[in-house]
Amino acid sequence: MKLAYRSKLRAPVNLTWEITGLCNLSCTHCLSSDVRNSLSEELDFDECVQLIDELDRLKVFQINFGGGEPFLREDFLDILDYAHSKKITTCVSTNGTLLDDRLVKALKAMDLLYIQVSLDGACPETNNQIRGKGTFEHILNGIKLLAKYEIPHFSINTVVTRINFTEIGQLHELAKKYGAKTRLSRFRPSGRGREAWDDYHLDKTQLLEFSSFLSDHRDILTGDSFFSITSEDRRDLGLNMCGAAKMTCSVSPDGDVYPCAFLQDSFFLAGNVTEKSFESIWRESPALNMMRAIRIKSCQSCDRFSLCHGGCPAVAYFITQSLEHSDPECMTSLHDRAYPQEFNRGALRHVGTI
Amino acid sequence: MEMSQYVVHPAVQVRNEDFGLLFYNSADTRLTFVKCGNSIQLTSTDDGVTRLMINCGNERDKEKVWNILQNLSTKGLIIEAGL
Repeated sequence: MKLAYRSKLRAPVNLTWEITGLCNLSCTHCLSSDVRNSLSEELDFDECVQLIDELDRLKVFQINFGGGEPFLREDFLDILDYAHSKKITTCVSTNGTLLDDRLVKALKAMDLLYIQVSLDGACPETNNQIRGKGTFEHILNGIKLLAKYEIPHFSINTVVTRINFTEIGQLHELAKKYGAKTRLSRFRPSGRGREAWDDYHLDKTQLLEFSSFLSDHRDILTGDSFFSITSEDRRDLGLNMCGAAKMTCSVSPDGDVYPCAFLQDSFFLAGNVTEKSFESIWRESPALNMMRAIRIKSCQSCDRFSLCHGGCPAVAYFITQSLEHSDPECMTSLHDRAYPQEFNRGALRHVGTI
Repeated sequence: MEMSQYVVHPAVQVRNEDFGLLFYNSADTRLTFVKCGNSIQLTSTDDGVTRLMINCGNERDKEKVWNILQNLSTKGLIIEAGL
């Protein structure tokens, strides 16, 4: 990990690809603020194949497909098959509502597939408040099907908010009941999440409590979401820094490339794969090089620097409107001072800017 | 020193980086960074097998590479050829 920090990788390790902007839900915390209503802005199948061919040539190991809801794309299974034919591992993030026997049987045959279903509460009231009326039962049906067909790499993903914070333990139990791993993601003030920030983000006490909970549950996956509050005993379980532009980047439905899915702002636009090769965007884009050059001076003397390297730039940017600030929700900030309330107003100032 | 021949495990991908080699295990999506410069080179055969070729001259460097290969083998990322 330290090596990757010092030198630019020749290609990302993985790519987050929002394969469609279409979605059948309208979740209140969604990072996609501008869900598209037509297919006209999406890469077509041939363009997807071209991009996968290039990712294969660059030896990108993994594609994380999201959206929108990926399974709304009629050619999505063909896209998955094509990626797998190149030995690229895929991870699909779905809302689970479109899963049926036919689809899950098809997924069962894909050895290189990881699938995560989003569920934001252990009971209908909580989940539906975030993901929409009646969604809990539909999502649970999808989860039951994945369990029934014994899909091996299957997780239930929850974006941790003030709304569902007290149900995280129950969600973990629910996942175990269905043979799934629990994955907890950080709520960020990106997309529609900016409007929900004040109501949803964890307060100082909850963040500290949550950090302890993660320490007690090493089987819970967090990806790179929570390194800002990672304790020493989870050091070996995930990334210790933001991987945006260093290990990963994001492609939007129309082929725009950004440092990560939470930084889909024109300020961070690195290029479009229909106009330039992905390789040249990765290696030469000023936006990606800017992300690689970020050094948070105030963090470098911090005892926790080796655990988080300044935390999440997306949270810092949308809350403080600066890339020179450390993550406002970092553990050191939580211990040293009250949560800076003026940052909340910063998030609101960004509502509607994309 | 007699060196064994190694190939990359079928569930594992590997690529060259400036610091050496970067392994990815599709069984658990874990990465392994190997700081070895160009002392281990990759060659692919027509049947899709990736071989690791030792590329260093003196015995001391060879011993370092040998230790790296042993470690990668223990992790299940590479397999001794012929096994």
